[in-house]
Amino acid sequence: MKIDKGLLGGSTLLLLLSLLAESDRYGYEIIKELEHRSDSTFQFKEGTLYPVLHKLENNGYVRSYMAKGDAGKERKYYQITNQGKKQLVEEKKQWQIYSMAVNKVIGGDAHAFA
Amino acid sequence: MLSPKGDKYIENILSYVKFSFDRYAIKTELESHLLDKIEDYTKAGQGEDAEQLAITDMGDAEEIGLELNKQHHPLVGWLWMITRLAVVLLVIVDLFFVGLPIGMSLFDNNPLKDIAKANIVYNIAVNKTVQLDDRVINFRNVVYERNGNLNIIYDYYEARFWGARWSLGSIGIISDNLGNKYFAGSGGGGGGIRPICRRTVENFSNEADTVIIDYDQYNRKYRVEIPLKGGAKNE
Repeated sequence: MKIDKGLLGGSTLLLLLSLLAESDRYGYEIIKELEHRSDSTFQFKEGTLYPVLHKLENNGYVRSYMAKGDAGKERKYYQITNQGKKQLVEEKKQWQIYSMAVNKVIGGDAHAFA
Repeated sequence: MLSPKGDKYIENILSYVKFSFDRYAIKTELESHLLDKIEDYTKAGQGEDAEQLAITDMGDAEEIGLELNKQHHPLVGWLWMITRLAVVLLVIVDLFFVGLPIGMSLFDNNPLKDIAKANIVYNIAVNKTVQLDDRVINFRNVVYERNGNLNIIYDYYEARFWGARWSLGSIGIISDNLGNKYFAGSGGGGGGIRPICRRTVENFSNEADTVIIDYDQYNRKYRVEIPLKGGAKNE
């Protein structure tokens, strides 16, 4: 099943902040990681990631800096801020409430989410 | 490097971003994304099609451009530029009005230079330090001039950098070992964190061989005696 609405549906913020909470990453790296971990469930036009990242930066959830990666190419890395970390905690909470509610409605086990 | 097709695609996206100052950064970021993707496709064996595939994956230029433009709004952009400019200006103003006087007081502002060399009978290097509360006063030179002026050059600084400053007035009453007290004269000093000042008394006896500085104000006291090349040695 492929989901393609907005960038990543309602969970864009949760997913991006989670990835950036692990390590600083540049745009293409984020896309590859999303694809890899979700078994290509999340498919979106890659270019649309950048307006979202820039929005996160404008909101103060991430900051960016230029740095050379392993290949020696200079790239724009994104780093989560303290404000971003707080927001991530909030997003995770909401996601749990949401998925629990969905599970209850569809009749599954309330503890079914991983 | 991108081919003209790739360049055109990115230019197309950028054409929607109205705030031109951000365009270069966006361009660099999108270019490195395309190049990474092309590299991956090439490795996977898509030699000729790699660039077109990468562009297709990236998405519609107009859609991306319009979304980017929302995040790089000219009004916000200009506010940001103006704020940064204001900060730079403040730093410059700060350097000028604070840094410069400090620098000057450290290097240029020795009042010793104001005394004409031809008029100096003698110049004694002194190194006596006294402390009043947190203020440290260091007597540096005593200069006797032909016209009878005796100049005491000193600097002072606060041992504690922060906190209330106590104005301690003058350095004290100037007298000599013959019992003469000197009131007529002048004083002056520089600014900054360690100003160098001059206290001048007039008609200082050329027979005295010691100048005495007595401070006794606000229950604080010190007495400094500086030996002079007095008496007959003046000539």
